[in-house]
Amino acid sequence: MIKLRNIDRYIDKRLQRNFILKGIDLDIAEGDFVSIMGPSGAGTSTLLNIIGFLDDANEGEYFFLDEPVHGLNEKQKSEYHRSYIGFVFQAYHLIDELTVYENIEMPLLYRKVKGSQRKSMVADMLDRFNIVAKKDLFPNQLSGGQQQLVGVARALIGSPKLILADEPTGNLHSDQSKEIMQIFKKLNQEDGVTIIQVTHSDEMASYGDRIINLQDGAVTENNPYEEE
Amino acid sequence: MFKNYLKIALRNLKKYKIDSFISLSGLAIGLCCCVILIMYVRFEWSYDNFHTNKNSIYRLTGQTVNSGNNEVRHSTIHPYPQSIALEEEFPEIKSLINISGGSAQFLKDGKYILEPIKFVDPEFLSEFTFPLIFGDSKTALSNVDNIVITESAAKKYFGKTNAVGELMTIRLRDEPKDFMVSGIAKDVPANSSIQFNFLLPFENQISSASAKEQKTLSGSWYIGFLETWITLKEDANKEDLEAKFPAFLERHFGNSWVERNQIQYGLQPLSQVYFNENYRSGVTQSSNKAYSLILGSIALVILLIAGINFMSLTLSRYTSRYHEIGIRKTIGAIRHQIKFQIIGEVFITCSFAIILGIVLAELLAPYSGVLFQKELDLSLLSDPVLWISVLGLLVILTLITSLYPAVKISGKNATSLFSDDRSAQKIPVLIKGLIVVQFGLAITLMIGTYVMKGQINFILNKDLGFNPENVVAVEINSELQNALKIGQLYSTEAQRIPGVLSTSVTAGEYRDYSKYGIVDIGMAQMMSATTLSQLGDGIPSEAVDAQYLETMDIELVTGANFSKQANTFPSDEIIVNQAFVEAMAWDNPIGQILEDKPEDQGWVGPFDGKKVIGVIENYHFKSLYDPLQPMVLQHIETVERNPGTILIRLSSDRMPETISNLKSLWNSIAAQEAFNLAFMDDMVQRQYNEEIRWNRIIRISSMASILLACFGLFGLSALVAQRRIKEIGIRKVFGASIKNILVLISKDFVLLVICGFAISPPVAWYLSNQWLTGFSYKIDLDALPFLYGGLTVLLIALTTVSWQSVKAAFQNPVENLRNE
Repeated sequence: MIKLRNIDRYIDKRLQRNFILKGIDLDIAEGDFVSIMGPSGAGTSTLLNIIGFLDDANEGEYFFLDEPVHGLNEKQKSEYHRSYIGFVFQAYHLIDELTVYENIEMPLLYRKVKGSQRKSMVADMLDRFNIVAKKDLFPNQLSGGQQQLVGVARALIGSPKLILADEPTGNLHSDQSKEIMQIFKKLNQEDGVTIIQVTHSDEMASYGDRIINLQDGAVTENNPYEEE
Repeated sequence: MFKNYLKIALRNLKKYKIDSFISLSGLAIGLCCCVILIMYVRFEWSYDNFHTNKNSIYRLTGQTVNSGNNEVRHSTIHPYPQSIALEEEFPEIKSLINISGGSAQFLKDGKYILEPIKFVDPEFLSEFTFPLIFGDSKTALSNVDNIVITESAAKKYFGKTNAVGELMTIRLRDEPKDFMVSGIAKDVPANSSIQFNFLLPFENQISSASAKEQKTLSGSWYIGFLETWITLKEDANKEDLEAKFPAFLERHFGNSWVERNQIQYGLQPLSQVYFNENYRSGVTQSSNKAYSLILGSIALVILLIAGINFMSLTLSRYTSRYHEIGIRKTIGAIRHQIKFQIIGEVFITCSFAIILGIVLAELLAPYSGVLFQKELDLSLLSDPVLWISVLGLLVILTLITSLYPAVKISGKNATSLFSDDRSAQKIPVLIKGLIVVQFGLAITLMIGTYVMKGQINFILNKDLGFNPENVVAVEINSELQNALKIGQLYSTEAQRIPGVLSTSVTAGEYRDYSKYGIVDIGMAQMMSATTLSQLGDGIPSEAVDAQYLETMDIELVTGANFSKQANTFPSDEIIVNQAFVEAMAWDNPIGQILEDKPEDQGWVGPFDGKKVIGVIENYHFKSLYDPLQPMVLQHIETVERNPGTILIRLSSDRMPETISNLKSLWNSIAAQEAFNLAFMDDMVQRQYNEEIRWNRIIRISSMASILLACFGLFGLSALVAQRRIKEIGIRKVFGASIKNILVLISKDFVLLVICGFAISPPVAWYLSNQWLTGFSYKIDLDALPFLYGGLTVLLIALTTVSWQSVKAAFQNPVENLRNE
């Protein structure tokens, strides 16, 4: 599904070139549950952003579903965002001015889903995550875990093939973290959704079936578990 | 989707209450001011537009050049025989209408009331668009004994509208005469430069003069007293007719007269009558075009300032929206959807503000007369121009305001939007530039206001050469047969009243003519033709008595005053002013005898053979628009002129009592005549009414623009203080004093205002100088108004900004940090 070849991402500063990512080669198949790990500044988030078309690589090739991403225009990228990729962020990134219901509904608006269908889809999601009672609250009236549930619900409502989660549990305590991870696990196993998450926690990484370790912008260990 | 955008827009407005309120209401108030001012400017520009024949109506104008000093004089006054000749000789004239202004005494409840009237030819009602409610426009004025009055005059005199057939007793001269009301005209619109309540057939103007005068008025080509208005036939054109005037003038005035005075005639279209700066007329009102242009510009400046407020606040609010837009991008919003959302949001807020502004303007319009001091009917909502320009404004403002953030934000990728969220604390350069422009404009207006105020104070306080304070002018109808006797008797008797210091009888009609659109009090209005080239095209003179100098407090420089003993002096004595002596270049003026008898002309100047017995200091017998002129005083008894005014100098205490004594004295001497008394200093001031009125309008509008600019500054500084609240908290925790914080927040804004101050003086200097050239007597432009203007605005701006800074500086840092 995802094929990265020799990806470089750098920032030029006067005489120096600072590499955030250097020479990344990576293959992720459909149905994988991958955890990207690495210390702060190792380029984990950048890698995820590049995979999710939020950022562009400076060098190298990226094929998404065998299509070269570097050749996609903005409209096509948005098309993928709408129907293939869902994002979950550490800081939740909910829109403060919209209620829980409206936040979850928003992706459907961009996909021009009809009103009645939208309603039932959002209701489904609310039901699934047990947040029906909270649907008219605003994000700042929720706890962190609840906000992240909304974030996940929003990512899932478009029934994406790929979920990109940037430290989804970074701001949550362990019970809430487990809940989110179980949801991911279930999605991966039952619905075959590909999941790529960035995490610093070994426990969270263990929910996945593959771990990619990043160090100073380069892959140091690709799937350490397999070698065991 | 649209609903979602609308929701976000409204919730954002609610979240940032202060600056939404400021940007919305600022724009609304600005628009409201602008609409009202522009409507007024449009009113000024709409003068005489309502006449259906407006494109074929012209006024005959004349221009002469003074051979002495090459001064160009403009006049709209023409002699009567000329009108007859014009009509006979030029077939392209469809109709010729003589109009002259005057006054007459109307009998009401046993007393005569002085009313301004207009003498007009019968075609007046059919050529101009002054419709009659009752009566027939074609015939109403064809009978000499008819009178046409307006609806409101009919109500005043008869208590009803339909007064056709009623009789009015009017005294044009000595004897009262009955006129029959033949038509009721609709009240004259406020935007008519010809205003009237009473119209009399033109013949009455001539027949009301004395027998001797009648002959001169109807026969002389050299005595002008009427305005000639002409309507052209459809196939005729103005230029062709004008080209025939030089030959016409030579035919009737003779070659040498035309050449010496360089007379030129022209046709002034009706549309140019109101804004005529050169031609002062007693028939039409006029105004200075410059003022309405200034006001129009101020209106636009106000709108610009309000627009800039709206823009800068909206722009800086968008920097806090990066996060939301970043999320939208990750979910799959494409660039043009983001653009559409931003433009749409701005459009909604903008239309909201504009609707609010229009509603506000509509509500306030009825009270705008307080500001403009003119009765006018501003019908806003029915004006298509308003709606078109408001629509244009909406589109322009929306595009200007939203295009920049729309393009800038939608072009960023999501990750940079997330990371830029917190670094958006600085004011963008664009907004800084806008603030500089705003304050540059505001300071320019303020400086202009100070200059205007200075000039008007200068004019009002200028030493006029006479002292108008505590002098009252009692009106006397000079048409009365025994006017001189009545005047002299009243004058002598009045001196016995305690509180009366001195009295004088003069021929001049010292009236407040401001309601006729004339800015002279009416002193020394007698203009006598002369052949003395040093004195230009005429000598102004006044007929007075021996107490005139004392009553008016005019200084006699050398020589003697007129003798106080009545009737004991020869009739050739005159007193002249210093300007006269200078013009004649006399070393020793006393005893000089004027020679005003050219050999080749068939007439003798009225001052030929007069002997100068005294020289008085120059005094401003005309308004300060005109420079000092040579003039002559004659004794009233020697010139066969009737008095027009009795001047009385009062002592400053117990004035009301003295005045009521003067009134009862009047009633015992001339019971049938209405007692009209006016204060000289009021009359002097009223000459500058138009300047004072405009100064007031411009001052208030300038203040509005400055307040609006500060309104925006307030909102922006609130926004900045709110953004930097964490920084302020941290600084305070690490020991920053309140003063440090104040400087931190205010510094940037004050710098911007100072930048604005730097660009305004050249503009203000240029504009002020332009305005001042219109005055003969004016202040020298010094640094003071500039300093005052800049300081006033800086002070207001500083107060505005520090309001927010103080609030931010005093907040508990712990709370700020926690909230973050």
